[in-house]
Amino acid sequence: MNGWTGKILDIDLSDATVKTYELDMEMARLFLGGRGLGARLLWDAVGPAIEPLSPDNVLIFATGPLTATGYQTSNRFSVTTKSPLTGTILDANSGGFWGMQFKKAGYDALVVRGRAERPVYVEITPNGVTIEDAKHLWGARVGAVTEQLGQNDNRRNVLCIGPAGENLSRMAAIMNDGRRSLARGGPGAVMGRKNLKAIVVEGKERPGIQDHEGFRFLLYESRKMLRTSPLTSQALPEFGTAVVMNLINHIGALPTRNFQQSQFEGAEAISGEALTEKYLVKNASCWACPIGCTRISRTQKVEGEGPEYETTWAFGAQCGVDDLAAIIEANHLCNELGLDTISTGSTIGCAMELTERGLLDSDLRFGRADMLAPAIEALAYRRDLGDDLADGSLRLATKYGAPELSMSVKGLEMPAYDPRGMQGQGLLYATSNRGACHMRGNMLGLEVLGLPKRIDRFQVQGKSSYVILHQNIAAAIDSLVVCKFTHMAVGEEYFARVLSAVSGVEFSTGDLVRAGERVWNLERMYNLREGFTRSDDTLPSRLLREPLADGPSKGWVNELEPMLAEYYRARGWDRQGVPTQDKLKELELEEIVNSQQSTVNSQ
Amino acid sequence: MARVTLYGGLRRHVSAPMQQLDSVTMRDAELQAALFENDRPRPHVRVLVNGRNLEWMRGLDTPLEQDHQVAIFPPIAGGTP
Ligand code: SF4
Repeated sequence: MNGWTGKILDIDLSDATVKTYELDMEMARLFLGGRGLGARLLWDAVGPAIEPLSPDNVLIFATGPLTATGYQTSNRFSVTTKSPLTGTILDANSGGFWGMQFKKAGYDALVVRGRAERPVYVEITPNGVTIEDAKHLWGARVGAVTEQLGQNDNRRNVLCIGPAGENLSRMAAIMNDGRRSLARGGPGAVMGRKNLKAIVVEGKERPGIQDHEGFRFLLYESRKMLRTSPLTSQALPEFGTAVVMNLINHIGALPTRNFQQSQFEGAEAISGEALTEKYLVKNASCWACPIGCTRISRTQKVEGEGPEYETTWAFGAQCGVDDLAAIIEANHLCNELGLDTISTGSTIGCAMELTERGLLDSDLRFGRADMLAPAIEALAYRRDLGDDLADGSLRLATKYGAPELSMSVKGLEMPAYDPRGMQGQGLLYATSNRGACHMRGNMLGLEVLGLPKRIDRFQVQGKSSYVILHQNIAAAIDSLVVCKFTHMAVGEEYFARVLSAVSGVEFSTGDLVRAGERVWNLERMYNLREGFTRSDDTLPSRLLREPLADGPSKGWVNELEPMLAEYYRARGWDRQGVPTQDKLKELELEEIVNSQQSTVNSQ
Repeated sequence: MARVTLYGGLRRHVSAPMQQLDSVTMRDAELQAALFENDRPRPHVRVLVNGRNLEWMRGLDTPLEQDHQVAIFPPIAGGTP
C-alpha cells in the first residue's frame, strides 16, 4: 500500500539500540498516521504507572500517509507522548520541512525510548542511523544548534530542544527547522529528560503514489480552490493569523489580563494590521505550501518568524501589554529557548494577577512590557520565580493559594478566545483530550468567521454536534497530516480522495471522519486509563461563574453543563463521559482497548 | 454620528481607518461597491455593530444610532497552525 513507508524506527537511548520494524498496515488503515498512529502506539507503550518525566515515557514522532507526497501543505508531522504539564495524552504538530524530510528518509514514525547517560543527538541519513555525542551542543539555544548541525531546508533538517527542555520546563517545546515548534504540553521536557538534544534527518526518496493521474488532478483542483478562496489567497498571506485580533476584540471575546476582561484597549496596537505595517519583513512558507501565512518580522533587536495570533495575545492582551516590539522579541526569545508561547505568556499573566492580588511577591504586573524577557529567561533556566513559572500556571497558582486563577483546562493554558463570548469554544476547551486547545476543531470558523456557515456564538443548545464534527475532522487532518488552514478552502471530501489516490485504498469522506472519531475515542480512553474523570472536563470557575462586566459579551458566563451533557450523549458516551462498549465496537476499538487495558493493568 | 472602522486590506481604500458615518443605515456606507454584492455583504465580509454581527440584527436595514460603533472586516482568517 502506498502512502506509508511501512517502517517504524525505534531507538532506545538507554542501551543505544536502533531497531526497525514493520508498520502493521491494519493499524495504518484504522489510525492513518501522525496523531492517530501516535495515539495507537502510545496506548501500548506508556501505561498509567509511567510518570511523564520518567525515562520510560516515550516520544513518538509520526508522519502521515500524505506527508511528503507534494500535496498542498503535506509538510506536517506530530509528536506524541504523555504530557509533563497535564498528565494526559499529548500530541503536538508542526509544519516546516523536518516532517517531509523524515518521511523521505524512509520511515512513518520514530519511537524514542529510555535515557542516554550523556547528552546525545541522533542523525538519520541514507547511510544509517547513529547516536552522536552532544556535549558541545548542550546549553546552546535553538538557532545556534540548528545552524551547527547543518540545517538546509530542502536537504538536511534539524529538530532540537533549547535550554527550556534541558531544564525540564513543563512548557518546553521541541523546535524544528530553527523556527517551527511542536509546542504545547511540554514535549521538550520529555526530550530533555532523555538527554536528547537534537534529531537530524536527511532523506532521499519521495514516497510512492498509487494513482498518479488521480493525484495530479486533485493537486490541480486543490490549487484552484486555494487560489480562489479569499481566505487562503489573500487574508492569510497578507496579514497573517494575527489579523483576527481586532475582530475578536470587537466581539468581546479577547481574554484580557488573565481573562478578567474580554476587550483590550491596546488591541489595535498589537493587531495583524500593525504587525504588517510596522514590523513585517516578508512572508514565508512551509514546504509545499502555496498559502504562506508565515510572517518574518523585525524589530531593532531581533528578526525572525512570527508572531502568530495566539502568541501576540499571550504576551499582549493576556499580560496587558500593548508594545508590539516587546511581544515580537518575547516570541523570538521563546523560539530560541524552546518554549510554548501560549503557556509561557498565559503563566506570566497568571503570575501578574497573583502579584496584583497580593498573593505573590514579584515585579510582574499587568502592562510591564519590560518584564516579559526577564521572566521568560528565568522560566527557561528555572531561576528564582522562574522555577515556579516553569511548572505552568496551575501548579503556580496552586502553590500561591489561588488555583482558580490558572486559566487552564486539565493544566493546559487556554488560547486566545474567551469562552464566555464563544460558547462552543468553551465546550471545545473543556473536552479537548490534551487540555485547552483551539486546534482540535476550533469554533472560530463557525462562531465568528462564519466558516463554513455562521452559527450564533451565544447559542448553547445544539452546539455539541458542531464541536464533535469539527473535533473528528481535526483529528483526521492531524493524522494525514496536512495544515488545517488548507481546510478553509478545501473540503474534507478532497482529503479523502487524495488519501485514496495516494494509497490505492478507497477511503470515503465517512471513512476519513470515522478515523478521526476513532482517534478521538482512543485518546479519551487513554485519559480515562490515566484516572481522568468527568470532573476534569471543565473550565476555570471564572468562566463559569463570573459574568463579563462589559462589552458585547456582557452578562455571559460559559453555559458548559448543558452542552457537556448533550456532548456525551451525542458522542455515544455514558453520563460519566466513558465511551460505551457499543461505541468502542462500532469504532473497531473494542479489542485494542480491552486487551491492552488488561495488559497494562497486569503489569 | 456612528463611527465606522475599517480593518485589514480595506484600509487601502481610505485615508484613515476610522470614518464618521453621517447616515442612518448601512446602505449608505462608503465603499459600498467593495463591500456589497446584490445588497448583501460579499462572502466573508463581516460587519459588526457594537460587536454584534449584522446577520443577527436586521441586516442592512439595521438602524444606526449616534454612539454606535461599526466595524467592517474583509475576509480574514486566523488562529495558530
Ligand atoms: S498555511 Fe502557514 S502554517 Fe500552514 S503550511 Fe502554509 S505556511 Fe505553514
